Amino acid sequence: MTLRTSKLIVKVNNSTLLNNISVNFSAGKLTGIIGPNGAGKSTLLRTLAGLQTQQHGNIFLDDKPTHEISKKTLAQTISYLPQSPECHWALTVERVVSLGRFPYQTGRHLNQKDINAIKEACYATDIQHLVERPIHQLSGGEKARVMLARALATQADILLADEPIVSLDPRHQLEIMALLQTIARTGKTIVLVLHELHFVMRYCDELILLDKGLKIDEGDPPSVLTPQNLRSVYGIDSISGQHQNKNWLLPWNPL
Amino acid sequence: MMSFTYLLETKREKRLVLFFLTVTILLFFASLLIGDTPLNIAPALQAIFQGHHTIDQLILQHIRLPRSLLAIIIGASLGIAGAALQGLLRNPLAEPGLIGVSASAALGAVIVFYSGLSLIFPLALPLGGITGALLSVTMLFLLAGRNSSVLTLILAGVAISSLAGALTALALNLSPNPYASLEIFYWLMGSLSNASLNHVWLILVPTLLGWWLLIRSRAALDVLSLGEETASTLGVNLSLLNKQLILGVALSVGAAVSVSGGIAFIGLIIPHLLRPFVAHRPSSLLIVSGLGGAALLLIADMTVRLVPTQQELKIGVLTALIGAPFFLRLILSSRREWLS
Amino acid sequence: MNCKQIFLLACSLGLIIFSTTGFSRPQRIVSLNLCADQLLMELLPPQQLVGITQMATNPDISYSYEKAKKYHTHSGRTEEIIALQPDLIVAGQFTSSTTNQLLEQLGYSVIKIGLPRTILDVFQQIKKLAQQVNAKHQAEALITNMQGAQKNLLQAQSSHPLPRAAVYYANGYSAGKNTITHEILNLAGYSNIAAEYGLTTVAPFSLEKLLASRPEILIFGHFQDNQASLAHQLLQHTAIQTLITSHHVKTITMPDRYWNCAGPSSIAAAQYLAGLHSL
Repeated sequence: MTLRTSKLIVKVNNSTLLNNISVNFSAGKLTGIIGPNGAGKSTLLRTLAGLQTQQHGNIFLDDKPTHEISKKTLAQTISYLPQSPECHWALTVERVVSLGRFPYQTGRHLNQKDINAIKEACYATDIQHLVERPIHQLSGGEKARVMLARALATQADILLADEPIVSLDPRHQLEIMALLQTIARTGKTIVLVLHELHFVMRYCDELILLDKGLKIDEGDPPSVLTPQNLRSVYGIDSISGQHQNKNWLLPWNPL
Repeated sequence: MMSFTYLLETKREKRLVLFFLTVTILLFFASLLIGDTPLNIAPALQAIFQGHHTIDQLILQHIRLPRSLLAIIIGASLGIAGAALQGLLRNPLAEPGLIGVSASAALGAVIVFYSGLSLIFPLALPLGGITGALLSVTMLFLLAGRNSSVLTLILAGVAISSLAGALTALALNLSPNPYASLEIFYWLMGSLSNASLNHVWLILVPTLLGWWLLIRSRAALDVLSLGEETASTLGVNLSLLNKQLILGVALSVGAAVSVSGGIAFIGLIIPHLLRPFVAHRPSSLLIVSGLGGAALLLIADMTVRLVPTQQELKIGVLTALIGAPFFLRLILSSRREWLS
Repeated sequence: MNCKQIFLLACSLGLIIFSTTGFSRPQRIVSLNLCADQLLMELLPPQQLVGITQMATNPDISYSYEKAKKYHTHSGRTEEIIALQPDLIVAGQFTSSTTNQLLEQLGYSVIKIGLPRTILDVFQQIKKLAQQVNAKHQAEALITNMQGAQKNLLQAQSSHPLPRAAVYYANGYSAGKNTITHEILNLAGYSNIAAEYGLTTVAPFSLEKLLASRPEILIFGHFQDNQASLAHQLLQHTAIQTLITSHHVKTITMPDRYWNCAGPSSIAAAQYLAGLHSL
């Protein structure tokens, strides 16, 4: 399933958050949307998820404009995980994850297929031992993994996640990034908004660099995370290299 | 520990519903037996089925039966509406009485009743209550719906309650009937004492419609726990859901208040007490709260009939005596969460 | 003493005697209470009863509403009352107490009358009031009339057991033993159900008890014009309506003006009720 935008313009209260954005998100790839604060990363993700309407331009799912697709099909095809996801009631972890199956449900009932999807999602995010606990009792990192499991339980072709690893410990950060990469390899389209440039360099297949609503660059991480781009967009200096045949990058100094 | 089959299990919930249903039915029959005149139940029932009119039959069918039925219907409406409002506004303090929905419904009913409109057109009475309730829930939703801050909700509720109460007092004072201004207490505190079968028929249709709207929205209420935006991406039609919930609450609470006055706190106490039994799941809470509300109001009504005061105690006074300290305790025990 | 001095002395004595007896005879009386209005109208002409309440002209609540048209009415406000320059004010014991207090503080003499519970109490009240406004003859004539009517009513009563009647007021109240309503019922030849159940004042009487008492007659206050209140809605409860049709209960609608004051209207009330016996 291919996801692409064409000449997207989003304006809110006289300020242009996205300016003529045309991007392509390929299936089977983990794409990162990066850029400094206020670049429009979350706005782009939210617009892709259907939460923000654009003033101009279109979003296409397999060359069909999203406004021609039913809400139910969209919900089954695109899974969205917001920044700092919340749960207002002290539901058990497995109940929270099961909410990800809502796009397929008729009424309140889950079938075996739903249960399997939920199980898989819980194991993948390493929360299977927490399933009967009320979500409010969990730590920040555990909660974040539960919320990711919810998004994974939908088994949608496209996953949009806004800073999904920001509150996790290093081990889980690595595990989740590896997981997302694995999922991408099965043919899914994964789009992440990320701040952690070292993870971006290591795990993303493609990058889209935004700044002040404009697309500055796109391509694979080494070609986007150049010293020039980092200097002009982020205002930082970095060090980089290779380890075990993979590229690494570390922000070093503000300029 | 890793029992995902819990998600498939519906037995626990069914057992809970069955339990409350049984309790409510038993309380209903007990309520028929309570009154200040001794009644021979068997001959009275016989007379009802045979269509004869005896004194015992009249007392049972026209005084005790409507009163007990209204207690069930109104208690259930208040319970369901409380649970629904809490799901809609994602706030455990939302309750028709506390946030001004009952007061607005009372205002609508008072205007219709004391202007004489309901004497010409009886259905105008529940319609008045429903209109009042609809206006206030809509206003509350616009003021405090998307912002889930407890403070905003309570303040909006206080503002709406005060305004509705003041307008109700004004409307009663302007009425030409000399008894009107004394009846404000009834409208603000609530009472089932003059219940008649007419009242039951009058509110039956809007109440059932309201319940239906609320119950069919319950699956989406669960998803709403994740917030409006996430729910929308999961396929929930937010505007339809909000409209269904608002209209459902307005219909059931509006109709109830138009014949009983504003009975408060049932929609706060029952969902709060029952939430742990349904693992905090909003969709499960609805029906169970309805039954719990019916049972609680039946108990309160029976108490009011048994307490030997000269003028019968208004039932709303009793629910407030229990509910207000309960509310205070809620505030004290979770102060930290609500200051955010 | 010479003739001139005797003449002056006689004149001054005469003046003194005249003025003291003049001061003991109130010339300008104002009534602040509907029941007092009606009593005083029987005893005094408009020249002496210079102010009565506006309620006295309301046919819904005042029995003597026709008579009241000849008298000057006031709205009850203190300024209006003072402007009438009264030398005696008659008020109710339980009504307008703040106005009464104020008038007393301003130096006016205020008589307060209570609510009689029996016909004998009524006669006593009339006599006492007549003494204070100096209308003894009129009082005697009034009482004699009332006693005559009372005797006729009692004689007209049959020796059969009296039909059982329940009076039902707005909000579900009934009148028990020590009330003027009870007297009126007895005078009219009915047995008061509320008294049977032990009520001794005007008190709540539950709907269930009303039905269980199996009344032969139900007497309602006149509420046809006043239906828009919960108090009155109770009187139209389906339980009562069905009782009336299924058990052939006779209903009498009693205009309020007959019995919201205890006085001459009470005899008229009893006559009204007695006249409906045979219907």
